[in-house]
Amino acid sequence: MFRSRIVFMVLALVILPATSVAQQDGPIAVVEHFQDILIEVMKNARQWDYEGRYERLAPVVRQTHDLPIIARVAVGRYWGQFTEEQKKLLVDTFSELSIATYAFRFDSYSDQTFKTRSEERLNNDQAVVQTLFVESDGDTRRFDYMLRRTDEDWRIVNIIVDGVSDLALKRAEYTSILRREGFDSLITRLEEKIAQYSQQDSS
Amino acid sequence: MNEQLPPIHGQGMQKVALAIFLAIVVSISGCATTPQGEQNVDPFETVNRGFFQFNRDFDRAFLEPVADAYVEVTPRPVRASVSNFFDNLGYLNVILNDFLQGKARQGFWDTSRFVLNSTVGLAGLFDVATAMGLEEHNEDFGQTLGVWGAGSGPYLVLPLLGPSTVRDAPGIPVTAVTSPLFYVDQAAVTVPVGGLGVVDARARQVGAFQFIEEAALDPYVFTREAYLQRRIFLIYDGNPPRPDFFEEEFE
Repeated sequence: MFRSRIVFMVLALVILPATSVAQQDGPIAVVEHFQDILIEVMKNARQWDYEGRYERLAPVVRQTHDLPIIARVAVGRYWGQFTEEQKKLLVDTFSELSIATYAFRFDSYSDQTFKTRSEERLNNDQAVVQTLFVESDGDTRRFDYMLRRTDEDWRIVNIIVDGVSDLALKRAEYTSILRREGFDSLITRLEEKIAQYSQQDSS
Repeated sequence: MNEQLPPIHGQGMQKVALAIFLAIVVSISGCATTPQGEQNVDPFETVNRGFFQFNRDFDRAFLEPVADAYVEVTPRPVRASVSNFFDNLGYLNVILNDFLQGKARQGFWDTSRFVLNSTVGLAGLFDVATAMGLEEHNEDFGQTLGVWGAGSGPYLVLPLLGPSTVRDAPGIPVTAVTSPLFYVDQAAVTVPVGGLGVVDARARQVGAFQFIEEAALDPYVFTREAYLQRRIFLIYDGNPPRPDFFEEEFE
């Protein structure tokens, strides 16, 4: 356990700089880089376990996703009502949950691949990249990524799987909880989910 | 959602009653003209949550154990054939709605698909049509009403049947009467086959239900949102107009 940690950390130091995204990368490059890391995590899932996957994914998710903006949209019109402290707490907790979700979900590998299909520029600062997630038996699922450019960087702001928008789902859930139960309850629920993922390493 | 329901078999009175029910339900769908993007799509939320919980409890008690056992005991190729069989039984519904939506070309291809799978594919057990380039389509009467311009109307959670809307609910009896199984009169055939259809439909949801349990903060809202989005996706055949969250004011 200890030894594989050392090995992993050395590997991370070696691999990480070489695979970080250059500043001017377009939407497809950002998406493909992220998907490459996902596949890598899936292939190494057993050895790394949940924490190893989390550590590998954390910097990549933060870099390729615009988590603060996603968190902001996910709470809809309630954002303007929060204090600065609450906003920070929300973004931090939400970011942790986003990484945790990937670490939890991508925990095994059976020859899946991603295939990029197209890129569409909606305007100067927004793009959609259509990809397919191909299972070993040939079944495919559509993964569409919406990206937004802030300064020079393209970042993912939404993922639409087979027509279901992850951001819309989150927004419906979070605004419902905020309306019925309030801010503290939302934070608690997010933290419970993070705990659930880290404890329930599905094998 | 081409679910196979246990059929309402029997002659005479029951079929007349069904026809009347169909007529009422189709006319109610005329109320489903809420414009897209309206704020409150769930005015019946309290009642819906009640039925949602009831469905979940019923599912955990009865359907889930049967479906899990079915998945464990039955080899994958057999389950695939069972699914193919029921998809084929439900395909007349797809063909009907192809034509109702003005998709004549797709209607002809889907007819060929149905004939091929029913004959060469041995009563639908084998999906030979896809292998020959005829892809499977997903159309139902709720989508047809959507294509004709009906908004979804309020979200509904139907007891035992699950998520629906005022527009989609009329599609349920239409799906039932377009299945060949509806016209078979021997209970000795319709009951076991219908029952297997329910198990097959439930078994296909095992992954999705598990996903909801794992991912959702609020399973009720999650299911509602995913259902409504999926319907829009299906009505637009995979190319829905994209709502832009980022038009909203950012300081």
